[in-house]
Amino acid sequence: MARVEIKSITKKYRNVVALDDINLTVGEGEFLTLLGPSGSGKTTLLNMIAGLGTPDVGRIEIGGSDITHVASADRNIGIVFQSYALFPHMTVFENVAFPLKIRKKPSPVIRKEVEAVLNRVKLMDFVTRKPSELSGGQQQRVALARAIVFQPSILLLDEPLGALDKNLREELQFELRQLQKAIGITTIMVTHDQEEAMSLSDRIAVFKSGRIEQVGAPRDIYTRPANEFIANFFGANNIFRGTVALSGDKKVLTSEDGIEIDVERPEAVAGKPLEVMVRPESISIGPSRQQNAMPGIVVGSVYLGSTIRYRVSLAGGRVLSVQAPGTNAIYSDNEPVTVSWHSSELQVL
Amino acid sequence: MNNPNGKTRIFLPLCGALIFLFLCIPILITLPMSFSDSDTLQFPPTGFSLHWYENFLESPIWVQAMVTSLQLAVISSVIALLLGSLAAYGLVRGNLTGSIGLEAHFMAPMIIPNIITAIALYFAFAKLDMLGTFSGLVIAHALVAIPFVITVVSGAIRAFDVRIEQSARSLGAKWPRILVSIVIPNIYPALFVAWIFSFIISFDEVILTYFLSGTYVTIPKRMFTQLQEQVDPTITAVASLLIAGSLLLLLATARLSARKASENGA
Repeated sequence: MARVEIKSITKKYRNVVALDDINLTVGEGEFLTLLGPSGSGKTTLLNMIAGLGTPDVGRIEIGGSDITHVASADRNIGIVFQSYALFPHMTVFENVAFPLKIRKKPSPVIRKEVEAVLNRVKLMDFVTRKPSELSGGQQQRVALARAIVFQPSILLLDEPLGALDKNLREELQFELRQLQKAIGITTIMVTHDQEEAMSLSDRIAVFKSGRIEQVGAPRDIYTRPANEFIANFFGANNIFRGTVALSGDKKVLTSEDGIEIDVERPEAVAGKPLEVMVRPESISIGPSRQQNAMPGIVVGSVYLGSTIRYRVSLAGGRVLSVQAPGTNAIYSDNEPVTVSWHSSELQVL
Repeated sequence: MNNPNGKTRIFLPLCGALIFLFLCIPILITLPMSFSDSDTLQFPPTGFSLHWYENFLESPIWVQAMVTSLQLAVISSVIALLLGSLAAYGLVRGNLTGSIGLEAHFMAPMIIPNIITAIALYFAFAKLDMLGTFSGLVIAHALVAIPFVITVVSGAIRAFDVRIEQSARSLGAKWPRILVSIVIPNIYPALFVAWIFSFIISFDEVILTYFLSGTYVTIPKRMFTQLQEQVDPTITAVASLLIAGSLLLLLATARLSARKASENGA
C-alpha cells in the first residue's frame, strides 16, 4: 500500500510530445484510472510507473521514495497486461509461485501463499494446468494472482479486461473491484473504455494528447465534464455553443445552429458566449409540449432492451442524441416528435 | 484452392512428387554406389559389398578427418549459437538506434561469397599468425554460421510476446534469470535448429577450410583431395554416412518441435 506521486513528467518521441508536464497523486489504497483515446499518453505513463520507460523530465515517487530510475525488477510492482503475459511453459501454480521464488521464499511458504491467492481468485482446481488450457477469463485471473501474490506496493492494470467478451468483462470488473478493496492495494489502470473506468475507479484522470484534461470521481466527471472533449468522451454529444441574450426577463442562448434554449443559470450572462450540454438521458421525447420543447423528426433508433436510443433531427438540421426508457412508447423513423428537458438538467461547460 | 477441380487435384501432387524426386536424385545415386563392389564410380552399381565402408573406417586419414570435422563442427557451432543468439536478442529487444545497419552487418557473411570471406580471413590470419591453426578454423566456421543462427533465433524471439519478459521483470527477475527461466524454455526448439544449422554448415564447409586449414584435414577437404587424386567409391560411403547423420539430426529437430507444441497445448 503506497501513495504514488507523479511530478512534472514530460516525455518526447522525436518531435511528438507523448506526455506534457503531468502531475498526479494517487492516494493509498485508491483505484485510479488513466482514461483516454489511444495515443493520448496514458500507456506511456503506466510504462514509466512500471519501469518500462523513463521520462525526459520529472520524477515518480512511490511511498515517498523516488523510483524514476530504479530498475523494474526492484520496484515491487504488480502488473497485469491485456495479453495476460503468462509464462506459457509453466503451470498455473508455477506462474503464481514465480515472484515468490525470485524472492527466495522457502517452498512451504510459497505453497501456502500461492494457494491462498489462488483460492481468492477461485482457481484452486486449475493449479496443474498450463495457461493454454485455460479460458481467457481464467488466464486473466492467473495474471492477477501472480501480480498480487508477492504483496507489491502498487498494482498496475493495462487494459486488463480488453480481450474478454462483454458478460465476462462485467463479471470480472465486479470481482476485480472487490479484490482491490479487500486487499486495499493502490491501483492504477489504463483503459480507453469509459464504462470500465467508471465502474471500477475511485477517481479517473482523462488524458488527451499527452495532457490530463480532468481528474475526478466518476460521477463528477460524468455530471460535470470540464470541457467538450470530456463530455463527448463520456457519450454526450448534445452540446450547444452560442451567445446569451435577454428575452424579456429570461436568459436565452442562441446556438450557432440557430436553436434557442432557456438558460436560467448564474453562469449565463447576457452578451457573453456560453457552452452548455444536455445528456441524452435527460431529454424526454414525446408528443407533449413542455418548457424548451422543440419539434423534431426521428432519424434513427436503437433498441437496447432497458433503453432506446434515438437520433432526432431538429429544425436547422441539428441532430440530438436522446435516450428513453425501454418501456416507453416507441417512435419509428421519420415520425414527428417533440423533445424537451428541464433547464436544471443543462450543464454549463 | 478450396474447391480444386480435377486438373489441379492431379497437377499439384504430381508437381510435389517430381520436385521431391528431383531433390532425392543425388541420394538415390550415391547410396547404391556406396555399396558397390566395383573399384570405380559406377552407376548403376555392379554388385553388393561393404568394402568401401570398411575402407573408410580402416583408413587413418579418413578417421582423423572425421574426428577433426566433428571437433570443429561441435566447437564452432556452439560458439556460433552463443554469439548469434545474444546478437539476435540484442537486435530484437535492444531498441538500438541503427539496429538495421547492425543487422545487415551481422548478415554480411551469408551474403558475401565465401571465397571473398576466405581471402579476407586469409590475410587477417596471416597478420595474426593464425593461419593453419585450429582456433582460426573455429573462428572462420563460426563466422559463416552466425547469420543463420541470428535469422532463426531472432524470428523466435520476435514471436515471443515481449510483455511476458516485462512481466517477469516487474515480478522481480533480473536479466540472466529471465533469459534462463523464461526466454530459453520457450524458444529452445529454435535454438536447437540454429545449432544444427551451424553444425551442418561447419561440417559442410570447404572453401574457407581450404584457404585456412593448413595441415588440418576435414571430411569435405579430404573428399575434394580424393576426387582429384584417385577416384574410388570410398567417398560415396562417406557421403552416405553424412546423409544418414543429417537425416537423424533433422528427425530429432522435428520430434523436438512436435513435443514443444504438445507441451504448450497449442
